[in-house]
Amino acid sequence: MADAEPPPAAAEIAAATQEVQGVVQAGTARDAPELPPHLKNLPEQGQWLELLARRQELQLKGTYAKGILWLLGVQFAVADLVFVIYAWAGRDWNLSAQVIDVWLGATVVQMIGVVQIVTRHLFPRRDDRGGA
Amino acid sequence: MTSDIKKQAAHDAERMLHSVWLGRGIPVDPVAIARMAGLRVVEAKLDENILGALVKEPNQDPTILLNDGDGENRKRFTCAHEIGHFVRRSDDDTEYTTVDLRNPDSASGTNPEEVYANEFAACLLMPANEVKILADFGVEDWEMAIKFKVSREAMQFRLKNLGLR
Repeated sequence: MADAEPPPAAAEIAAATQEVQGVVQAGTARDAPELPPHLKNLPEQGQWLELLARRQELQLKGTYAKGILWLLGVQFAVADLVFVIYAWAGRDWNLSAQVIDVWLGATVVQMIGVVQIVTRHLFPRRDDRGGA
Repeated sequence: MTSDIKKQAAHDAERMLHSVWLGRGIPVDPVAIARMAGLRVVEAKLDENILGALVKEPNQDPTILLNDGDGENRKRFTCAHEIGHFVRRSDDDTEYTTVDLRNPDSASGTNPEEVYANEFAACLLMPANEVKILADFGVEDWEMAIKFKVSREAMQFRLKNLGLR
């Protein structure tokens, strides 16, 4: 207790006590208002948390979207680069249509597959949840 | 010692919320809670050094008096603080007057009665579960302060006390 701060001066407390007792006894104080109706009608806690969950999901979707776009760019750049190297260093520019079809087709299918998995399974449509 | 007082205050505030406010969500209305607990809550122009008071007179309901000159969030915290004093003295049937002054002693954490009332008010207006959930969602302290209708300073203090920021 030795390091406790000194309490307010007794005279200050006495004066304040006298003032508040006088106000209460005089009955001059008015009723304090409760929260106004427009604040009482805020969404219930559950709805608020649902809104927060949606916001977090949107943020996560944004992060994934940026990541996927970046990966798509890298993937296509790598595919094209390897394609050029294959044609230039390996053989010649007269690649067969079959090689081009398979190469580009596989790249596109691979990326569509990645996007499909991420969007379909990590972020299911709201109307799919709990549906029959 | 202080830790025990704070635990008791948190426990009592939680019981108060469960008793009279369950399911009503946030922001908590301390004026409504006080009235449901049988207190009168009034406001009047007081000396600027006075935050509020709890007055118990013979054969009268206890009265919480708020300073009309204070802002809404300040009055909400003072009201919750005075409810804390009331709960702390709920078995005291004698007449008494507790006055809270705008001085460092109220917030410094040295007076057990003030420690209890401050912790009670914080727990009543900013329930731990709700604060934790919002913190987990990454809600900023100023957003939470708006939601709970408290000052940003009080919100930051609460987050710090809960070990969340």
